[in-house]
Amino acid sequence: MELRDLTKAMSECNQEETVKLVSGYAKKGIGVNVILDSLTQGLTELGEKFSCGEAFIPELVFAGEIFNEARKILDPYMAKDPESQVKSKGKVAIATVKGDLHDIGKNLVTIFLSLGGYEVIDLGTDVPNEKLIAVVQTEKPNVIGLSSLLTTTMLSQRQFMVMLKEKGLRDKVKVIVGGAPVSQAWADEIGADAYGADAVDGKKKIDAMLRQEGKAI
Amino acid sequence: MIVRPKLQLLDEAQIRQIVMDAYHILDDVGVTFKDNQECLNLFEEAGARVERKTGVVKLSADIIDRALQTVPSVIPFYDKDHQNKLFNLGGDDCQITGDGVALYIQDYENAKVKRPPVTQDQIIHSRLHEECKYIGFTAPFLLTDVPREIADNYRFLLDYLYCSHPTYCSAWSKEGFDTMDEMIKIMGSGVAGLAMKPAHVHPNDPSSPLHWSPVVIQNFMDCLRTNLPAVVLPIPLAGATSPVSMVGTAVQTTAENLSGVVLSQLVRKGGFLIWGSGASAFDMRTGTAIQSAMESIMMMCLIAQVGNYLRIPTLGNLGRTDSKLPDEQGSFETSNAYMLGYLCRVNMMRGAGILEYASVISHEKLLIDNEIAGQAQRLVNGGIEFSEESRAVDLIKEMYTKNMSYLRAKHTLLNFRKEVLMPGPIIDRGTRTAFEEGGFKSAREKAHDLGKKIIAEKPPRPIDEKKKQALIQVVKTRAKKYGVDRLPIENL
Repeated sequence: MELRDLTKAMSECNQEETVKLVSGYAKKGIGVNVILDSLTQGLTELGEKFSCGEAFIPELVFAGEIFNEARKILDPYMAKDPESQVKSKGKVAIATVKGDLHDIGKNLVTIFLSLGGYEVIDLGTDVPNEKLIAVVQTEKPNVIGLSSLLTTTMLSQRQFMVMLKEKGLRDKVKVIVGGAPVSQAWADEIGADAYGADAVDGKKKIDAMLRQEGKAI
Repeated sequence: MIVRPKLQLLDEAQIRQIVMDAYHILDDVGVTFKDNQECLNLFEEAGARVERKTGVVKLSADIIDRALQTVPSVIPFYDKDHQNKLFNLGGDDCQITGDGVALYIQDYENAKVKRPPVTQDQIIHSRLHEECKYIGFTAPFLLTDVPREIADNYRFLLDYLYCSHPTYCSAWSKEGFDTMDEMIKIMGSGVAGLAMKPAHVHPNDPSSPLHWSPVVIQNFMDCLRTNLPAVVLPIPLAGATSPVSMVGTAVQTTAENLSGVVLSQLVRKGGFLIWGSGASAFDMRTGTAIQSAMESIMMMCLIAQVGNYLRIPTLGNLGRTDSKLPDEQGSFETSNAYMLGYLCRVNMMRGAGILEYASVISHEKLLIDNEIAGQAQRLVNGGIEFSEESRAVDLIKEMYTKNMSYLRAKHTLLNFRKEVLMPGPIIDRGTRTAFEEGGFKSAREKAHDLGKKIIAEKPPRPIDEKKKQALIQVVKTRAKKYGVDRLPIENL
């Protein structure tokens, strides 16, 4: 069952209408999963508009915020409905490496992954490798993404790969790297699993890696 | 407040000097209006000194001044059905125009072949024009599958059927003009005040230096009588039919335009007129009229700025390329012309979709030019918003304090579409990944694909069947005189 008006409001980034419809449907007793599916379908349609050049990044960002607002409205209903859940394709931790404050690329990847149904742990910028290792151990993400915009900071990506092996965690997580000075050759050299040329490519590579692992992407 | 960047090639005193020099030429040696007694009568009645035998008309300053007082500074333009207003021509507003002067078309499937255009070529070109949102006027071209005598009306018919944008199109005889007038009346059926809702422009080319030929005089006067905006379009070749100096060519062209201004206002006070120029540099090695030389562009911008000074809508043959292909040369030459033309406020820039000294039509070039035009329009029509909101001081403080990305700011969401023009699909600003997935295609290849996609996927514009048949009948009636019982369009 799809709530077409809600899907449409979501895909058009109509904040007021989306919030109103979510509240209304929840009060009427429509299942939380049905509402969430309609919201997700709206995000998918917005993503399609983005792919063909009709929607743009600020609208994707705004859509993400509307979705989060809708989620907050649904929280009390989810607590009462044990079967309801936000479906996640997988968990991705993402960070800009130590010494690097650039975050636009990382933020874009985060947006695309979130809208694509991933649970994303955004660790921010200037993140030391020790913290990244700790996140792999505690959060157990399927994938960790490391962004670097500077030739001086990309070396942190290599150091992270070394630390990952030393800690015996290499087979616990897939690693994707990206950023202006980074290339496929660099990813191969340091032993990363994938290289994301841009945000869209990054999501595709993550989809592909998890599909290989048998996830339903 | 929107700040619209502007470039002044000469200062006001220098432009005034050009106008004064032109006044002097018109008063001292005059302009020849050949073999049209009616126009000579009008000049004489207005106080001009007319030599009947030669057709030379000498104009004093007071006659010119009077005409300048009544010529409109802005012309409103409507779609071809005279229903919806699209834009004003004049002042700071500029429009790009197609170009139909070519005798050949570049074959769409084989770029090495240029051949005479036929019905199907015009249909495709007009349908592509319909999708070019940055090109204001169409300009149908000479078709060779009908007799030359009716080709002016036939192209006008096809362009009407497949594109709603206003048209830049001439008739080639008195009969052709009268038929065109009849067609315009059918196109605007049922619209009150048709004459005040122009949807067409008619060019009239004086023969530089300082001559008007009989057909041009007749068409020009008929334009004014029927309230069809008339372009005065001298096409001097600097060093061959006008002084080799840019300013000298501007002086002569100003005199030619002013003579048109006077005649126009004698035929109809308040009649629509566009101050034009097709001035070009003359290649002293090959004898070619270089359309895209920087000197040609500068001259046309300069002459337009004289028209702007006199508060008359202006036109220049800008955007043409001398390249033989819609290639890199073609794009940078068109871009040079559009950018300068917009900055200098040439209100109509005629030259989209044409190659090789304005002799070869190209569908791909039209689509590429549309995107170049978008960039130029962004520069001037879009301009720079200067306001408290656009300065965004509070936003900068807020984002810094909260350590937030501007991507999350409402200011970005609300303003990015007007601040940033997102072109495409020919201009590629996408990622390498998308480029490679798209087949590693150049702008020219993408333009080719886009043309095919439009024709395959976009239906032709809806048209009133009765109106269509009435228009076909008008052209057919004329065609029968030349042995044609059935127009090619009827066989499709």
